[in-house]
Amino acid sequence: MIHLSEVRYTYPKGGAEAIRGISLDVSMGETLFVLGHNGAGKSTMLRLFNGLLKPGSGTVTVDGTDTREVRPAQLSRTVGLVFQNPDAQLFRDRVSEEVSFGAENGSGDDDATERHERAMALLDLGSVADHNPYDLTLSWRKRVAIASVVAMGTPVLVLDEPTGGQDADGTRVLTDLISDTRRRGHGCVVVTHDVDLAFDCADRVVVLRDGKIHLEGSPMSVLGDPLLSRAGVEPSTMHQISAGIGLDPPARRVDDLEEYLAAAGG
Amino acid sequence: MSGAGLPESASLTASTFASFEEFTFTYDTASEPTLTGLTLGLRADQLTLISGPSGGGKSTLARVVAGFIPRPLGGSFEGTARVLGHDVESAPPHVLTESVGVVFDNPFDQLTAATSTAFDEVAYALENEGLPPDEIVARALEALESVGLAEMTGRHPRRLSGGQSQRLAIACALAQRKPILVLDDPTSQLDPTGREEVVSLVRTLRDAGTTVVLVAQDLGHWLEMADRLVILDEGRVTADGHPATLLTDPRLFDGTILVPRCVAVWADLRRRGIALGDTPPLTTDQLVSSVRNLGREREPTP
Repeated sequence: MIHLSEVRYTYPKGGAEAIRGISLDVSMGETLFVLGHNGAGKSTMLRLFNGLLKPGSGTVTVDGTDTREVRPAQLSRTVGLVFQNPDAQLFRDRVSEEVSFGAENGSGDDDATERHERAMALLDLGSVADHNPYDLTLSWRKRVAIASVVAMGTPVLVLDEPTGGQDADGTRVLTDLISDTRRRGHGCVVVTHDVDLAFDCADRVVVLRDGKIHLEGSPMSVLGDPLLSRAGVEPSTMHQISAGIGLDPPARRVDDLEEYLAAAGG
Repeated sequence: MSGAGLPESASLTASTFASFEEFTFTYDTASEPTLTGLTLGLRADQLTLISGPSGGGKSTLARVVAGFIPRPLGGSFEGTARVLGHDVESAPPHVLTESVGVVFDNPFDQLTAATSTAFDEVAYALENEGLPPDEIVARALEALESVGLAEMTGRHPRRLSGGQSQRLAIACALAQRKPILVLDDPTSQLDPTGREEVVSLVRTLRDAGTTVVLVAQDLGHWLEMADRLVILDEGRVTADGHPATLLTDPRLFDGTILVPRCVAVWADLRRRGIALGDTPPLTTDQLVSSVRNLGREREPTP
């Protein structure tokens, strides 16, 4: 669905090249997690996905269309991007209206009303539907911003740090959203610093370092890779435990730890 | 379990610097109170970690301690809240803001925007206090050094990383010799490197006996250094005690707090009849060593 080929990008104001030769595919039905240090190029890459930024060299295509040839507004019907800071996109007086705006400007298989209702339910916004988004805490505003984009029904959903600052309830809502997106056969790209979230939810993990792909593969292979620390990313908790007790292959679930301890007891 | 569970030694040796008695607070713009009949004492020379669901009252509590509530932010309240001996109702606002240093979640909200170097940023508040110039220089450099920014004194505040900005904000409080430090989710917007910088600085301050009130959603990096964990939910204290004691309570696992992965794994194994000790591990390293020890114990001896 999204295809990056040898993409390079430098911001107009100059400075170091932010993206230094990335080739990557995002497929429908796939949940891709992007990890990496601040400044590794994660947010820049997301903006290349939906044409907000155009590559300096190389190509980005979305559903076969070169992003240089269309306006970002057209691509936003295919790639729904939610920024890390919700205040960059909230402008209606009521939560429900904010989400309606997304639904009315979207393009799903079902109608705007259905998409609106589904987004409100998925982000569990019923209790704040009539609130002004700016009367809500930052973590709730983030849920509203995500709901507004979910309501567009885009084939690909891109989330930048969705769980940062969320409480237990918000984190559960967002992991459910990621599962729902996969179940619907849509593509999902999540940028996060939360390695355990990637371990739990990702089909594939990409680790960026200095504008390049440093590691790429399944969460089980990438999130315990000895080269991970060079990108400023720590191993998942399960990989840390497995390394500490010499368990290879590493434990995927608590079941595997239970089995290991049972075997030691046997 | 409200009010219970503090180690006895702590209650005997440490003094209370902030106390809330049946304190109910409602923001001017809100219809419901944010704090509801809160009764709580915070002790000096400790790191008190405050967590709980979003909207539960954590940041509001921090703002009362910091002298922003009831004034200048406004709102109505019942009951009493005393901080450093002052009733928040009658204390002039500057009394508390002079004694309590505050660091918020957004690193770029901290800066005055009036200075062009990290040194000037720290010196700014000291100049407002009317200190002699040589003392300003000495204190500012000492504070910058203690937060690990000795090499950055000439750097423009806007050119610091998130972690460096948060450390600069802490340096400003240290330079002013503020006895209390309130940190409101200081790492939630930082990357892992910035977070580790701030976590390690707070650990150093805590080890030096600084009084810290730390609000955090993500407990993982703070549990090990916290003397006390207070859970606020719907404006009330629903759990209060040492983290290792509190985190054995299954009620906290029902979505009240973000349970750190090491504690969740410990609890899951425990439910399966695999006991890795009576108190939960507060770090992944602690979990690893208890799993390793149990594995060794269980290995049949030849």
